[in-house]
Amino acid sequence: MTWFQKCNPFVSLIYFIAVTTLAAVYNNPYHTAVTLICTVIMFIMCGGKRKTALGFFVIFILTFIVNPIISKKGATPLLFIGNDPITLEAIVYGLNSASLIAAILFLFRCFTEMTDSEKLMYLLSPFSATAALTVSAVLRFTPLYVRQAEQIAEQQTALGAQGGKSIPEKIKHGGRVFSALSTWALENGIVTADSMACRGYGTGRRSFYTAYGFKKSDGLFLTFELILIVSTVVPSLFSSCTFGYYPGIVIPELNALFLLSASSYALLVLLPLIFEITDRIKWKYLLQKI
Amino acid sequence: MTVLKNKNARNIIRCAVPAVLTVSAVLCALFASDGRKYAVITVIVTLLTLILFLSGFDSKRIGSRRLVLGAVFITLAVAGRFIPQLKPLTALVIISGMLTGAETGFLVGSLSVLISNIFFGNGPWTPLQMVSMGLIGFFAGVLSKPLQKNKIILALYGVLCGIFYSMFMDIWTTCSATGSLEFAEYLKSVTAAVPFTIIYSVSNVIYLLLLAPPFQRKLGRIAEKYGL
Repeated sequence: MTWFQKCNPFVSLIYFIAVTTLAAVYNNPYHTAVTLICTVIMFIMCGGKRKTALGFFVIFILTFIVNPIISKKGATPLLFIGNDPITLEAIVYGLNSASLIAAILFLFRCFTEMTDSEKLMYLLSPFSATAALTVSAVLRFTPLYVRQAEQIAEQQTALGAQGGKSIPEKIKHGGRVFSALSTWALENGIVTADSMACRGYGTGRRSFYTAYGFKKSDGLFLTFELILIVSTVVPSLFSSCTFGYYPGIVIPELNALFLLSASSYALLVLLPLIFEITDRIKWKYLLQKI
Repeated sequence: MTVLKNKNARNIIRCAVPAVLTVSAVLCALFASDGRKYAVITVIVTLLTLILFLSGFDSKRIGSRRLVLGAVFITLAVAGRFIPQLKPLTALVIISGMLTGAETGFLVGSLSVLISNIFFGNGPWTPLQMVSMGLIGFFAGVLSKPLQKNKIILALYGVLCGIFYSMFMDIWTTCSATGSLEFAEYLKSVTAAVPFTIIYSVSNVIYLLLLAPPFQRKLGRIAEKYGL
């Protein structure tokens, strides 16, 4: 998904929050199915790994099985295990909530795939400049500490303090490296802080650098996104879109308002895919021109 | 946040917006959801609480030294989370809260979860983890004096943190699996998690007793050297 990688992080954050919240609030098999199909496609387009998908599938199966066993609500028992009924409603609810959880997991995996540290800082900074600064410091420290830890380990080896191959000795060696590293890290941190203070950190008004502008395509996406969110939410306020599970299954009435809300939701979920495919077609067309 | 010139106005807006949102989310949840959308509401409310907490931080009051020390602790904690099964993250959060103050403790707790989840997978549970870990760090800072003086209190705090974290995350487990938050179901998932809670609490205590004295010595040395 190159579209999400290059768009403004706030625009994509709104999409993720809107889709997750709406899918979970409606909690309707239709919404869940749309979200699941779309997020799986996005997951594949993000280059998601088969192993991750397998892990999510295990969670899906577990959630699906657990709900009918735990929950004793529902009016139509299908079979009895001992004295506990397994009801049709609990199975339907379990299937829906398992798919919903799988969909949200896929969605968040896509989000993780395309949020790098730079974007995380950009998203944090309006809420808390302190937190954003801390994150940026951590990101600098991580490679620094890895390198320093390697150097310390090499020095220990050169001193002949590496120890043997048995597990207690290895733990001892690791502990020594960690101890030396943390002493050095704390001291280095103070030096960093002092040099920050010397260069005037926290004295004047903070200036603000962002690596992400707000392009025309971001504006377009944001406009569509907001219109679709409104046209999903507003009709559903006037007509019930909720799918009743307990005690008996209640399917919402199929009126114009529900159809409007449901189709807007489907479009909202599909929006990044539409943008991505339009981009790819444009790119192909431009290549052919050359 | 570069639009507003007045610093006070900026601060008020930064704290007021999440506060208003949190309250309205709770009210909407109470009136509109007929008591079924617990999972969504839990996540939204914790996320807003988190933003509220973080936007209240003022880097000038914390000071750049403590801020950078916090970053050092986060890096060590994130690196420590790569050790399978035994995770010294909680112990390091407690130590950082205890030695550098409550506010830094909250920052270290919440951000080390956020950053390490980049590697372990973020999800709807991230805000809950961030808040619970942040609170563990925060109260370690509040109880700084007794924790530093007495090893038994420190060990007790480690056990309590293990239980608290486990029970806090079970709220999410129950919500996400059954869609409601009934006490009986919550109790079931708490009992199911007892072995993990025990492993968690015991490893907390071991790490705390192993790591706290050396870190106290190291920071004491630095305090003497640089005059903290």
